[in-house]
Amino acid sequence: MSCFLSNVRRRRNIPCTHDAMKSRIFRNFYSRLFRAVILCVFASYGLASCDSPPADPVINFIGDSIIARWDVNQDFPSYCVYNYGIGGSGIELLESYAGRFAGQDIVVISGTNDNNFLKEGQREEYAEKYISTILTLTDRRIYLFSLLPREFETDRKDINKDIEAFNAIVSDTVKDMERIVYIDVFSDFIKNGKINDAYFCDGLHPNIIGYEILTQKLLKSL
Amino acid sequence: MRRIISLFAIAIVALSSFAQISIGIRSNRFVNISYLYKDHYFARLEQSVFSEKPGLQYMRGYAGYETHISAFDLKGTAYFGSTFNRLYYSTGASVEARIRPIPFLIVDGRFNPHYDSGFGYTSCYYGGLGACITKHIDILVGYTNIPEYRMPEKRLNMGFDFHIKNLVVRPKFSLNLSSDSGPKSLRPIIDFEYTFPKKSRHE
Repeated sequence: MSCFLSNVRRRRNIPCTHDAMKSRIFRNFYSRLFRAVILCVFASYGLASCDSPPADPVINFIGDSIIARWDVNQDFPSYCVYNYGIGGSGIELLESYAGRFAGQDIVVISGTNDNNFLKEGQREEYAEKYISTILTLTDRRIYLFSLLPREFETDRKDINKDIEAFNAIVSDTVKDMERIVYIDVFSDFIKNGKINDAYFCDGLHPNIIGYEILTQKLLKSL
Repeated sequence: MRRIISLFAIAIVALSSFAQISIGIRSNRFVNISYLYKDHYFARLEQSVFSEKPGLQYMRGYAGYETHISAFDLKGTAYFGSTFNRLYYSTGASVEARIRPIPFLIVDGRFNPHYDSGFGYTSCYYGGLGACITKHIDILVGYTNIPEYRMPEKRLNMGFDFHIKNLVVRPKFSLNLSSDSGPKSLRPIIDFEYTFPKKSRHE
């Protein structure tokens, strides 16, 4: 050992002190131990048996301004995503996309701009048309969000009751449909009977925190 | 793919004794460690930090060569990456050139052919201009469609480059200019890189 160390010292022209040598030995030992551990981790990662990879779905986001303002590329960085949201749109946008997304999954948030049709007496007819239109968009999985509550400056007073009643009809209708995954987020955005201002930027559109809630809800379902 | 990335990582770790090491963050969500060998050859391993399941985390390896010819800083890179559950993989190459035609002006360009197993091939690029405000601060503006995450998007980047000694920090805003896809989103992005001082051979 001492012969080896003296050869090392000669090759590296290192002055000989016993304490410095011991310190260097221990540093080299821990450095090599650390690298060996890292090597083992990466080797096991590479040598681990691989199952068949999952399918890589294309996910299309369709709907109104809540979809349009959603930064889906950032919030779903591992997925192939396209955003077809248009601000101010309603059921007519969904009708225009009939059959367009065959073979692809879709995410839908739409209906808040048609809120006049959510009043009692028109609600059931609109819900039936709403669901049948959504079913024509694709033959694959549909992730349908509930309508969010709202308190926009021009909204009528009982609008959230109408929204809640509409959500209940849609939820009840689609619960036995295998292709539709219904994601209820209405209660997540309500606090003490009113909208939770912490999740909205203007009483209608979610802010960053609101979109994080929508993102996590969708990721659980994907 | 997993074996390729593992072999790459093993090579990096094994050669780390002889290389200059840097650590950094790219686009808020990718941490990386880089090795620069003999001032020209470099390798980098990048790992995503997404708020998603471990299987959807993404790892990418880069290898390349950088040099300085005349007034140009040139860099050529090849990369390959995949999610842990092999949902998709992406690969490509990048050729980058930077020049200072006059002392306070920076011109930067990059061509990046990029292939993703999900949506195919895209020719990506970056063109930018910068100005040196002080010795340690540059202001940069660039137009690019190089993906910040997975999907290529046409974006305008505006930000600063703070560089002092071994630390480089690049905060910027990235604005979506795509006319065919959704929001005109504004993203705050930060990149940073710290280079550890080079060890002398006698340590």
